[in-house]
Amino acid sequence: MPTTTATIGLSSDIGDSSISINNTTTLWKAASGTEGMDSMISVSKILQSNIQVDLVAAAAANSATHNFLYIKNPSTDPAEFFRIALGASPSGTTSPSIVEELGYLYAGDWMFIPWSASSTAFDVMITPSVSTDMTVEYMIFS
Amino acid sequence: MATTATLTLSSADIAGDPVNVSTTATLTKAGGVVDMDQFNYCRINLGSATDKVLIPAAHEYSTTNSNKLYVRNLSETSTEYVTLKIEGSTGVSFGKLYAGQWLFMPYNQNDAAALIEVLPSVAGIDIEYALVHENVDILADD
Repeated sequence: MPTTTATIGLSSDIGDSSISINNTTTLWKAASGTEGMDSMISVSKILQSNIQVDLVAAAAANSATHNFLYIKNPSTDPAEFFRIALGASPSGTTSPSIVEELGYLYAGDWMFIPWSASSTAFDVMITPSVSTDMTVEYMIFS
Repeated sequence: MATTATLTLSSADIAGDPVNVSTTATLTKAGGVVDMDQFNYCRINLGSATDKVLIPAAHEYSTTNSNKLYVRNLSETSTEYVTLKIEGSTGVSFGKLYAGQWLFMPYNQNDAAALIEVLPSVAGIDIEYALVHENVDILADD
Protein backbone atom coordinates (compact mmCIF):
# COMPACT_ATOMS: atom_id res chain seq x y z
CA MET A 1 0.00 0.00 0.00
CA PRO A 2 1.48 3.38 -0.95
CA THR A 3 2.75 5.74 1.70
CA THR A 4 2.62 9.49 1.15
CA THR A 5 3.72 12.04 3.71
CA ALA A 6 3.00 15.73 3.98
CA THR A 7 5.30 17.90 6.06
CA ILE A 8 4.73 21.51 7.03
CA GLY A 9 7.32 23.90 8.36
CA LEU A 10 5.94 27.18 9.64
CA SER A 11 8.61 29.61 10.76
CA SER A 12 8.28 33.19 11.91
CA ASP A 13 10.22 35.99 13.51
CA ILE A 14 7.08 38.03 14.16
CA GLY A 15 7.46 37.61 17.91
CA ASP A 16 10.33 38.63 20.12
CA SER A 17 11.39 34.99 20.04
CA SER A 18 11.27 32.94 16.88
CA ILE A 19 8.30 30.66 16.28
CA SER A 20 8.59 27.33 14.55
CA ILE A 21 6.03 24.60 13.85
CA ASN A 22 7.06 21.40 12.11
CA ASN A 23 4.80 18.41 11.58
CA THR A 24 4.59 15.43 9.28
CA THR A 25 1.46 13.44 8.61
CA THR A 26 0.91 10.30 6.60
CA LEU A 27 -2.00 10.50 4.20
CA TRP A 28 -4.15 7.59 5.37
CA LYS A 29 -7.54 6.75 3.99
CA ALA A 30 -10.48 7.69 6.20
CA ALA A 31 -10.30 6.22 9.71
CA SER A 32 -7.59 3.79 8.65
CA GLY A 33 -4.24 4.55 10.18
CA THR A 34 -2.74 1.69 8.17
CA GLU A 35 -4.04 2.03 4.61
CA GLY A 36 -2.37 4.82 2.69
CA MET A 37 -4.06 6.94 0.06
CA ASP A 38 -3.33 5.26 -3.26
CA SER A 39 -4.56 7.70 -5.89
CA MET A 40 -2.98 10.96 -7.04
CA ILE A 41 -3.99 13.54 -9.62
CA SER A 42 -1.48 16.25 -10.53
CA VAL A 43 -2.45 19.09 -12.84
CA SER A 44 -1.06 22.39 -14.07
CA LYS A 45 -3.55 24.68 -15.83
CA ILE A 46 -3.36 28.05 -17.53
CA LEU A 47 -6.42 30.22 -16.91
CA GLN A 48 -7.00 32.81 -19.61
CA SER A 49 -9.77 34.91 -18.13
CA ASN A 50 -10.71 36.33 -14.75
CA ILE A 51 -14.03 34.51 -14.74
CA GLN A 52 -14.73 32.13 -11.89
CA VAL A 53 -14.49 28.52 -13.01
CA ASP A 54 -14.61 25.06 -11.51
CA LEU A 55 -11.01 24.10 -10.82
CA VAL A 56 -11.96 20.66 -9.58
CA ALA A 57 -15.43 19.17 -9.63
CA ALA A 58 -16.29 17.07 -6.61
CA ALA A 59 -16.94 14.15 -8.95
CA ALA A 60 -13.28 14.21 -9.96
CA ALA A 61 -12.15 13.07 -6.53
CA ASN A 62 -11.70 9.36 -6.03
CA SER A 63 -13.24 9.44 -2.57
CA ALA A 64 -16.53 11.00 -1.55
CA THR A 65 -15.39 11.28 2.04
CA HIS A 66 -11.69 11.99 2.45
CA ASN A 67 -9.19 13.49 0.05
CA PHE A 68 -6.34 15.94 0.41
CA LEU A 69 -6.11 18.88 -1.94
CA TYR A 70 -3.01 20.96 -2.69
CA ILE A 71 -3.25 24.18 -4.69
CA LYS A 72 -0.45 26.60 -5.52
CA ASN A 73 -0.27 29.97 -7.23
CA PRO A 74 3.17 29.85 -8.91
CA SER A 75 3.01 33.46 -10.13
CA THR A 76 5.94 35.69 -9.28
CA ASP A 77 3.93 38.89 -9.69
CA PRO A 78 2.91 39.93 -6.16
CA ALA A 79 -0.26 41.59 -7.46
CA GLU A 80 -1.62 38.37 -8.98
CA PHE A 81 -3.85 36.20 -6.83
CA PHE A 82 -6.51 33.54 -6.96
CA ARG A 83 -9.75 33.55 -5.00
CA ILE A 84 -10.53 30.04 -3.80
CA ALA A 85 -14.10 29.03 -2.94
CA LEU A 86 -16.21 25.94 -2.37
CA GLY A 87 -19.62 25.72 -3.95
CA ALA A 88 -22.08 24.18 -6.32
CA SER A 89 -21.04 25.80 -9.57
CA PRO A 90 -19.22 28.83 -10.88
CA SER A 91 -21.21 31.88 -11.84
CA GLY A 92 -19.70 32.23 -15.28
CA THR A 93 -19.45 35.98 -14.86
CA THR A 94 -16.85 38.37 -13.57
CA SER A 95 -18.92 38.76 -10.41
CA PRO A 96 -18.45 35.33 -8.85
CA SER A 97 -21.38 33.71 -7.06
CA ILE A 98 -19.43 32.55 -4.07
CA VAL A 99 -20.96 29.91 -1.87
CA GLU A 100 -18.17 29.86 0.67
CA GLU A 101 -14.95 31.64 -0.07
CA LEU A 102 -11.91 30.28 1.75
CA GLY A 103 -9.47 32.99 0.86
CA TYR A 104 -6.86 34.41 -1.47
CA LEU A 105 -3.70 32.73 -2.73
CA TYR A 106 -1.19 35.43 -3.62
CA ALA A 107 1.92 34.81 -5.72
CA GLY A 108 3.83 31.86 -4.32
CA ASP A 109 1.13 30.93 -1.80
CA TRP A 110 -0.05 27.35 -1.40
CA MET A 111 -2.78 25.53 0.51
CA PHE A 112 -3.24 21.95 1.66
CA ILE A 113 -6.62 20.91 3.02
CA PRO A 114 -8.73 17.83 3.62
CA TRP A 115 -11.55 17.79 1.08
CA SER A 116 -14.76 15.82 1.54
CA ALA A 117 -15.99 16.14 -2.05
CA SER A 118 -19.20 14.47 -0.94
CA SER A 119 -21.53 16.29 -3.31
CA THR A 120 -21.63 18.80 -6.13
CA ALA A 121 -21.83 21.51 -3.47
CA PHE A 122 -18.14 20.87 -2.81
CA ASP A 123 -16.64 21.81 -6.14
CA VAL A 124 -13.46 23.83 -5.78
CA MET A 125 -13.86 27.10 -7.64
CA ILE A 126 -11.17 29.55 -8.61
CA THR A 127 -11.16 33.14 -9.79
CA PRO A 128 -7.94 34.61 -11.23
CA SER A 129 -7.26 38.26 -10.50
CA VAL A 130 -6.25 38.99 -14.07
CA SER A 131 -7.27 37.72 -17.48
CA THR A 132 -3.74 37.41 -18.80
CA ASP A 133 -2.61 33.80 -18.50
CA MET A 134 -2.31 32.71 -14.89
CA THR A 135 -1.04 29.24 -14.09
CA VAL A 136 -2.46 27.22 -11.22
CA GLU A 137 -1.13 23.92 -9.95
CA TYR A 138 -3.10 21.39 -7.97
CA MET A 139 -2.87 17.83 -6.69
CA ILE A 140 -5.51 15.55 -5.22
CA PHE A 141 -4.65 12.58 -3.02
CA SER A 142 -7.36 10.01 -2.36
CA MET B 1 10.01 40.41 9.73
CA ALA B 2 9.03 37.35 7.75
CA THR B 3 6.94 34.27 8.15
CA THR B 4 7.44 31.33 5.82
CA ALA B 5 5.42 28.18 5.22
CA THR B 6 7.10 25.20 3.62
CA LEU B 7 5.30 22.13 2.32
CA THR B 8 6.97 18.86 1.40
CA LEU B 9 4.93 16.09 -0.20
CA SER B 10 6.76 12.83 -0.62
CA SER B 11 5.90 9.35 -1.76
CA ALA B 12 8.16 6.58 -2.97
CA ASP B 13 5.38 4.38 -4.28
CA ILE B 14 2.13 6.21 -5.11
CA ALA B 15 3.27 6.37 -8.73
CA GLY B 16 5.71 4.49 -10.92
CA ASP B 17 8.41 6.97 -10.00
CA PRO B 18 8.92 8.72 -6.66
CA VAL B 19 6.92 11.89 -6.11
CA ASN B 20 8.51 14.81 -4.33
CA VAL B 21 7.05 18.31 -4.14
CA SER B 22 8.59 21.04 -2.05
CA THR B 23 7.51 24.66 -1.96
CA THR B 24 7.99 27.62 0.35
CA ALA B 25 5.75 30.67 0.60
CA THR B 26 6.65 33.89 2.31
CA LEU B 27 3.43 35.02 3.94
CA THR B 28 2.53 38.57 2.97
CA LYS B 29 -0.38 40.88 3.53
CA ALA B 30 -2.87 41.43 0.74
CA GLY B 31 -1.02 42.83 -2.23
CA GLY B 32 1.82 40.37 -1.85
CA VAL B 33 4.55 42.83 -0.81
CA VAL B 34 4.39 43.60 2.93
CA ASP B 35 5.17 40.76 5.35
CA MET B 36 2.55 39.51 7.75
CA ASP B 37 3.08 40.88 11.25
CA GLN B 38 0.66 39.07 13.57
CA PHE B 39 0.68 35.44 14.73
CA ASN B 40 -1.71 33.62 17.06
CA TYR B 41 -1.12 30.07 18.30
CA CYS B 42 -3.37 27.95 20.54
CA ARG B 43 -3.66 24.38 21.76
CA ILE B 44 -7.17 23.50 22.95
CA ASN B 45 -9.13 20.51 24.18
CA LEU B 46 -12.49 19.91 22.50
CA GLY B 47 -14.32 18.73 25.58
CA SER B 48 -17.53 17.62 23.93
CA ALA B 49 -18.52 16.28 20.54
CA THR B 50 -20.40 19.40 19.51
CA ASP B 51 -19.63 22.27 17.17
CA LYS B 52 -17.00 24.66 18.52
CA VAL B 53 -16.19 28.06 17.12
CA LEU B 54 -12.48 28.12 16.43
CA ILE B 55 -12.38 31.60 14.94
CA PRO B 56 -15.33 33.93 15.41
CA ALA B 57 -16.72 35.85 12.49
CA ALA B 58 -17.26 39.49 11.73
CA HIS B 59 -14.09 40.98 13.15
CA GLU B 60 -12.64 43.38 10.66
CA TYR B 61 -13.23 40.82 8.00
CA SER B 62 -12.23 41.80 4.55
CA THR B 63 -12.64 40.45 1.08
CA THR B 64 -8.94 40.76 0.43
CA ASN B 65 -7.18 39.69 3.60
CA SER B 66 -4.34 37.26 3.11
CA ASN B 67 -4.66 35.47 6.47
CA LYS B 68 -3.43 31.87 6.69
CA LEU B 69 -4.82 29.21 9.02
CA TYR B 70 -3.05 26.07 10.26
CA VAL B 71 -4.97 23.37 12.18
CA ARG B 72 -3.73 19.98 13.39
CA ASN B 73 -5.58 17.10 15.06
CA LEU B 74 -3.33 15.97 17.91
CA SER B 75 -5.17 12.69 18.53
CA GLU B 76 -3.20 9.47 18.21
CA THR B 77 -6.30 7.29 17.66
CA SER B 78 -6.70 6.68 13.94
CA THR B 79 -10.51 6.70 13.97
CA GLU B 80 -10.78 10.07 15.73
CA TYR B 81 -11.31 13.04 13.48
CA VAL B 82 -12.26 16.70 13.50
CA THR B 83 -14.64 18.06 10.88
CA LEU B 84 -13.79 21.54 9.64
CA LYS B 85 -16.60 23.93 8.76
CA ILE B 86 -16.71 27.42 7.38
CA GLU B 87 -19.70 29.60 8.19
CA GLY B 88 -21.09 27.20 10.77
CA SER B 89 -24.11 24.96 10.44
CA THR B 90 -25.43 26.73 7.37
CA GLY B 91 -22.10 26.71 5.61
CA VAL B 92 -19.77 24.08 4.25
CA SER B 93 -18.20 21.13 6.06
CA PHE B 94 -15.26 20.90 3.76
CA GLY B 95 -13.13 18.13 5.22
CA LYS B 96 -11.98 15.96 8.10
CA LEU B 97 -8.63 15.84 9.85
CA TYR B 98 -7.89 12.38 11.19
CA ALA B 99 -5.31 11.71 13.90
CA GLY B 100 -2.10 13.62 13.28
CA GLN B 101 -3.31 15.30 10.11
CA TRP B 102 -3.08 19.03 9.49
CA LEU B 103 -4.29 21.69 7.08
CA PHE B 104 -2.95 25.02 5.90
CA MET B 105 -5.29 27.34 4.02
CA PRO B 106 -6.02 30.96 3.17
CA TYR B 107 -8.76 32.49 5.26
CA ASN B 108 -9.98 35.96 4.40
CA GLN B 109 -13.18 35.93 6.48
CA ASN B 110 -14.93 37.34 3.47
CA ASP B 111 -18.31 38.03 5.02
CA ALA B 112 -19.88 38.66 8.39
CA ALA B 113 -20.70 34.99 8.97
CA ALA B 114 -17.49 33.37 7.80
CA LEU B 115 -16.44 31.85 11.09
CA ILE B 116 -14.43 28.63 11.33
CA GLU B 117 -15.95 25.79 13.35
CA VAL B 118 -14.63 22.39 14.35
CA LEU B 119 -16.70 19.33 15.23
CA PRO B 120 -14.79 16.51 16.97
CA SER B 121 -15.93 12.92 16.35
CA VAL B 122 -15.59 12.21 20.08
CA ALA B 123 -15.20 14.36 23.16
CA GLY B 124 -11.73 15.22 24.35
CA ILE B 125 -9.72 15.59 21.14
CA ASP B 126 -6.84 18.05 21.39
CA ILE B 127 -6.10 20.30 18.44
CA GLU B 128 -3.61 23.05 17.80
CA TYR B 129 -4.06 25.95 15.45
CA ALA B 130 -2.18 28.98 14.30
CA LEU B 131 -3.45 32.03 12.48
CA VAL B 132 -1.05 34.32 10.68
CA HIS B 133 -3.08 37.43 10.04
CA GLU B 134 -3.08 41.08 9.20
CA ASN B 135 -6.09 42.47 11.04
CA VAL B 136 -5.70 43.75 14.57
CA ASP B 137 -8.75 42.24 16.21
CA ILE B 138 -9.71 39.27 14.08
CA LEU B 139 -9.68 37.16 17.23
CA ALA B 140 -11.56 39.59 19.44
CA ASP B 141 -14.45 38.29 21.53
CA ASP B 142 -18.02 38.62 20.34
